[in-house]
Amino acid sequence: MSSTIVSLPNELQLDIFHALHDSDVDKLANQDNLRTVTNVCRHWRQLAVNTSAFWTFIFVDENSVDLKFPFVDAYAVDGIGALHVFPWIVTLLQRSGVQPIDICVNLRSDYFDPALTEYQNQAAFPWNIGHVLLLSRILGAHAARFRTVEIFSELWQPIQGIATALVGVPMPLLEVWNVTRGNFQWGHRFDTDLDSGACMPAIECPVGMSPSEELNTVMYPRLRAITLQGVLQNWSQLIPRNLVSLDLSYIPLHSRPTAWELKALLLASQFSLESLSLWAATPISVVGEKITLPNLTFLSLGVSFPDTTQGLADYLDIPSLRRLELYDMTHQNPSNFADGQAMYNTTWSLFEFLLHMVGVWPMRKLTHLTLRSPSFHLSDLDDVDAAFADGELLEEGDLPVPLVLLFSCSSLKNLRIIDPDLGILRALVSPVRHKDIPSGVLAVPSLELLQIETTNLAYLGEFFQRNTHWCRCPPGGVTPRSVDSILLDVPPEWGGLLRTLVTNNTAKEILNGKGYFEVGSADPSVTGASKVFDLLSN
Amino acid sequence: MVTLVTSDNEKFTADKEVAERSVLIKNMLEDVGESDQPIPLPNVSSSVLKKVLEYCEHHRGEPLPAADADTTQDDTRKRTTDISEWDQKFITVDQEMLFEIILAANYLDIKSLLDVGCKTVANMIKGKTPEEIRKLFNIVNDFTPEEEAQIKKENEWAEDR
Repeated sequence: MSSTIVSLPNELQLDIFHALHDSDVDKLANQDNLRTVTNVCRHWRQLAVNTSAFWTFIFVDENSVDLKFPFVDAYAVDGIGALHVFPWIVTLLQRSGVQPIDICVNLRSDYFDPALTEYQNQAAFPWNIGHVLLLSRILGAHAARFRTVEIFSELWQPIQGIATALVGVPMPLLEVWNVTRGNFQWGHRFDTDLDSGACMPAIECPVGMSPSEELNTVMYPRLRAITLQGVLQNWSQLIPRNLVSLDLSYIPLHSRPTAWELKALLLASQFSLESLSLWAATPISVVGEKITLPNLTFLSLGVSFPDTTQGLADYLDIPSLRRLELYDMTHQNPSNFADGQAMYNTTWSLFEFLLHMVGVWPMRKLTHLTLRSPSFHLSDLDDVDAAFADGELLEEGDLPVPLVLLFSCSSLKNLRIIDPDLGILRALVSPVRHKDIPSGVLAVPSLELLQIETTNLAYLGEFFQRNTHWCRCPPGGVTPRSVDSILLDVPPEWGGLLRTLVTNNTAKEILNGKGYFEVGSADPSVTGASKVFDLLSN
Repeated sequence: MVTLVTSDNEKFTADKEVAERSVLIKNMLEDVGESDQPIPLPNVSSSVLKKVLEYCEHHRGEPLPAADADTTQDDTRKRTTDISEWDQKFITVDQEMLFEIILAANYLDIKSLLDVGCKTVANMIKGKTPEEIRKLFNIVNDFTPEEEAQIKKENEWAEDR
């Protein structure tokens, strides 16, 4: 008996394979399902292998190479040899035909030890420089088809090797360029581990040439999103322009862009840029420079003092900002813990920066605020509590920094707090009396979504305990905060305790990013924990 | 109302709105204008058309895919094999009927039904070994030993190790 499925018209069999291909989207690295189809029978193999659109995701990892195949000179290896060394990569490149391709080189390695030097780590990595050069040659020959390029590596050598092969190579279809050196320890200091000439020159033009609009049009006319993490660049020579998204993170101190270089980079995308992320990547000094980004709606800023300039708030003129993320990175910078004075200076610098930022950025227009690892003094908030208890009316100038920050965001709808300290959680439930509302008011009184990601049950417990206290306030007292949804990212087993700390008007729903809460059953005859989706449900 | 005649000469009547979820029928009705003439569907049997009309009836009123959907297929295609609960129940049929529905959806040009059918078969294939797939669909392994060896070698490098 013949097979019905194989006797369907080819176009329908291909529709089925398309559905299968789409289902592989989360694990494109291996494309298991579609590859299995090619192993069933000749007809299916022919259909699938000859459909180039199925094979456009090229995933390279440290296992992609056949270490048993010897070669001396990477430049002398021919096509057959390349097929032996990188069998699946070369196969995919062949099968993808002339389709645009998405390249992901993921060389994150279990062998990497951040305590060792680059040279020592290189020695432990299974690839040698020849493998990097050969891969660069193989991929470089298809650069005209690149749509997405992502390179992840803790080691610098593969990044520089691949990038060097792409110098001066036009990538007319390129839309996304993402290079991440996963060795973030150098993000707050001078990288003494690399040669002085180390750089990632792929999307730069040679010194002496201008990275003009014309050059960008020839080289990368479609490039809209760049992510550069932990990499060394010659910033003034970057060619890409008209970007929509730019993400610079963990740039070693000696390789940070200067104020002028960053300004030139941003000016090249001044009217197109909508999203900007700068984590440990800002210039050390920005005296006298300023850049207006009229269409920037999202800014993510990771700051650590003293290597963030105080002038950053004045440097960035961002009138359309609606979504702001602030990452307090001071705890990552070892120099901040050198002595008590260093810690004091860092904290003072951070607070000065935040207060200045509140003064010059359009905080009242923000709809989304994310605070990563916020750290504030509890003693200042104790003073606020005491003032409230005494019936004292406070002015903005009397408030501690976290409350100045929160009160400035009067249009906020979405507040996300990641790894909070007790200070910021306390600030959220510390009412303040002022002359307009002498009965007392909480900051951000109305939210659509409050999201908290924490591993500290005690902090979260205190937050809910105080919040419930104000929720039960009799009329005429502090108005409870109106929250549509609270989304917690916490262990489900905290559910039992948290449920005793909340009240029905804490929010309309309290969900867990982990999917559910474990709580005791409402039926006393049933023992053990039951799972609830919404902590407020019965 | 529209009258449809199947390959086994059975007549079905359906609301125009329901029948016109098929682009083929919609175009035919536009071509013949106002007429009571039955529409012959020589490639669809009565048992299959009954199922197809059940699907069209359930989805009546939902927006139809744009005419140029093919050109932007990659963007508009829902990149999962998720199927709604009702559709899942609807398509829980034996293999023969499943492929008949796919063929009919293709002939009648009902994209959403074709999509449900293809996703269902894709879900049947997902996670299975080549041998399990062969057994499921009665497919003969016609690879030569040399081809088998080549596939084996290819898989060594493609598989997650």
